[in-house]
Amino acid sequence: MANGYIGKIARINLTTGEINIEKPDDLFYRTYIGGKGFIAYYLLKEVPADTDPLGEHNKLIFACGVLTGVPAAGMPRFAAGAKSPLTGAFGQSDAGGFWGPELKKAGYDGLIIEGKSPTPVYLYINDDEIQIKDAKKLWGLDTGEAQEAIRRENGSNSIRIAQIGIGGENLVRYSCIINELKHANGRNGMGAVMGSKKLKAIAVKGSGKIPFADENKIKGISKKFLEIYMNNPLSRGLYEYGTAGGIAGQNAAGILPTRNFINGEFGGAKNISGETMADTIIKKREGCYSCAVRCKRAVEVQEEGISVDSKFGGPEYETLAAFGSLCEIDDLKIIAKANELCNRYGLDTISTGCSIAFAMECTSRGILNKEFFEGMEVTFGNSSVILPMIEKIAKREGFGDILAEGTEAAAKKIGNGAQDILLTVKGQELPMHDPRGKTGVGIGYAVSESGADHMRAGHDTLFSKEGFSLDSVKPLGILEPVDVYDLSSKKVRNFIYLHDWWSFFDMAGICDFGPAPRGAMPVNDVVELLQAAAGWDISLWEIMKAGERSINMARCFNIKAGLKKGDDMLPERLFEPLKNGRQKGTSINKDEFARAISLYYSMMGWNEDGIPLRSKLGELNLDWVEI
Amino acid sequence: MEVTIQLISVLKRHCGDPAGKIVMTVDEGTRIGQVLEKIPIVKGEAGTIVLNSKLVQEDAVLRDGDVVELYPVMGGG
Repeated sequence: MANGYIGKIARINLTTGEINIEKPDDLFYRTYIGGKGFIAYYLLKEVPADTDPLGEHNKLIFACGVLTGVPAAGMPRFAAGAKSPLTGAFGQSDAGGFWGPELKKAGYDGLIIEGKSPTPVYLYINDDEIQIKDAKKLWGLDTGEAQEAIRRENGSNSIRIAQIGIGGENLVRYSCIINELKHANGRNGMGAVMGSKKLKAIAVKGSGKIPFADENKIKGISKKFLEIYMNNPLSRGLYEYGTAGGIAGQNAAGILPTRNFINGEFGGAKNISGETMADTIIKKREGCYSCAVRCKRAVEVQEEGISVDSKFGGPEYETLAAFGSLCEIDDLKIIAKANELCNRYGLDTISTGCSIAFAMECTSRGILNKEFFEGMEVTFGNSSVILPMIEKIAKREGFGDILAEGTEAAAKKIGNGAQDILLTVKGQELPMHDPRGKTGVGIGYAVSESGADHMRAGHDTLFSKEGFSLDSVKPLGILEPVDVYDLSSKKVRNFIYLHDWWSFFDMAGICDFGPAPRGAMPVNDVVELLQAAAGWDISLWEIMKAGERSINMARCFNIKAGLKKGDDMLPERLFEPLKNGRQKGTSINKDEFARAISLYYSMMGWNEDGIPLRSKLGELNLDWVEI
Repeated sequence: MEVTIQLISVLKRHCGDPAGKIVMTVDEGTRIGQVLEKIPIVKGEAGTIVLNSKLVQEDAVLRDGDVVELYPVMGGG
């Protein structure tokens, strides 16, 4: 068995109560690496593509990677995956925190959750012992209460818990899994899959040690990172202001999603910025396992009705924009409370904010009225509706039951032109980055196997001019600046290389904020770190091929699930001009974009419908995949 | 001629003024890229450049009294 792994994956069937430990061979580990790779493997092998995502036959896979738990910055992550109830496609969402490393210390590289329990349960994994425990008393509790109860019941405050809130219990299709009350597998509705299995939580306590091939080498790479990371502008920025530091720059550039992507500039941006957060409600900086970047923020508000408990963390860039500029809300305390509520209830803050913005635009266009919203004035800028709407969505009360299905399903039900204002790809709501100002992000949104996702590849702005961030990706073969608006072969090629690289992150357990281009760890140090952890003579070439393999596997699952070429397209609004701000009038040319997607297919070795050629699958050692 | 450089957010660390403001005397025809070389910021660190409220690139030519705002590069997340 390679180092870096434990060598065991636990298969837990909640219908029968059976628990089996599997020990995959070395070839499996080196081929699929972990995370996204493991998820794609098990979905393709074991989950029929027409499975009901919320049915008994969907499987929920938790997968660490070879680097999860390496004592270096940016290596805390694990992936949760299943067929997504939001998109009906390949579902995968990663989280940081401490849960992934703890699972490996307990003795498992991953968990495969099968079946469906008749009554609420939770798993307690205490090293070799895996117990399925009664969770009837936990069902209905918020995440803070449930964490406390589980720790009390098992007599330890150091138990790490990944869990769902009432959002997942109520099968909100964009509910998340949350660990340590603030680190979320946010996207794709993995919380609903967990809720459908009546699985409230997975509590883990591990006392083992993860084996690494060359610990001294790892220490050396980690030490070097500590010496350089504060000199890297991006890492420095994350340390100083967290991701929230991005609000000011996005707004100045005219691409801060505002008023449901109608506008690119928000007059209240300063009030919801990372700088304002640092001056007002911040309590402390926080971070993940073994990471010095400390990009997380814990905030505190002590005001009646909107008090915010810092144990639920604080709003990040995506959350600030989704509840803030997108809804034209500039009340930072309300947004902080919205973030806390989403973490208590286990809701994805991006899709929740987008659902509210969608509802607000429905009102502004006369598609919906006050009566539909049970008397609430669901209009842009009305901060008083944000918190009650989150409550209604999480509890599926009244109109919240419709919004809990995701905006695409909600629009279909609402009719009256609601589908014309959708901002989704494959049914998932857009993150808070406007592709009209960075077209590579648009390619990522469109072709992402899991629906619109801003973390498929580094953003165009990092590579549009000479400087440190372009220099950082030269080992990947990205050698010259490419304009943010470009949609030529240069942009498509850059996206492909970066997508392979970032997909490898999702496999190995790497945070996008650790290595280049978004973090300070040089590309070649990642390669050396992997060699030191696993003991493999692995190269950057093999790493990139592994990333490409995972993309093709996820693609194949989607093809089997019935997704078509037309699903790789952006929503109409992005082909229309921005209505205000410094990029007023900017839009994406639809024909040019469609040509870029076709070019992407052919560069990937896929046919004109986006289906991988047999020769490509063979080249990636995926002959076994049938599509 | 005199121009004002306003550093925003984390870029302020490169300046003695906590408010991030630098007033600089430069020659006629100076481009923003040349001004950036006089400030100890990392090459590529200034992502968005705003000249008198308009988006510009580093090749923009400065005039007397201009105000340049520099925002840190943003990479998603």
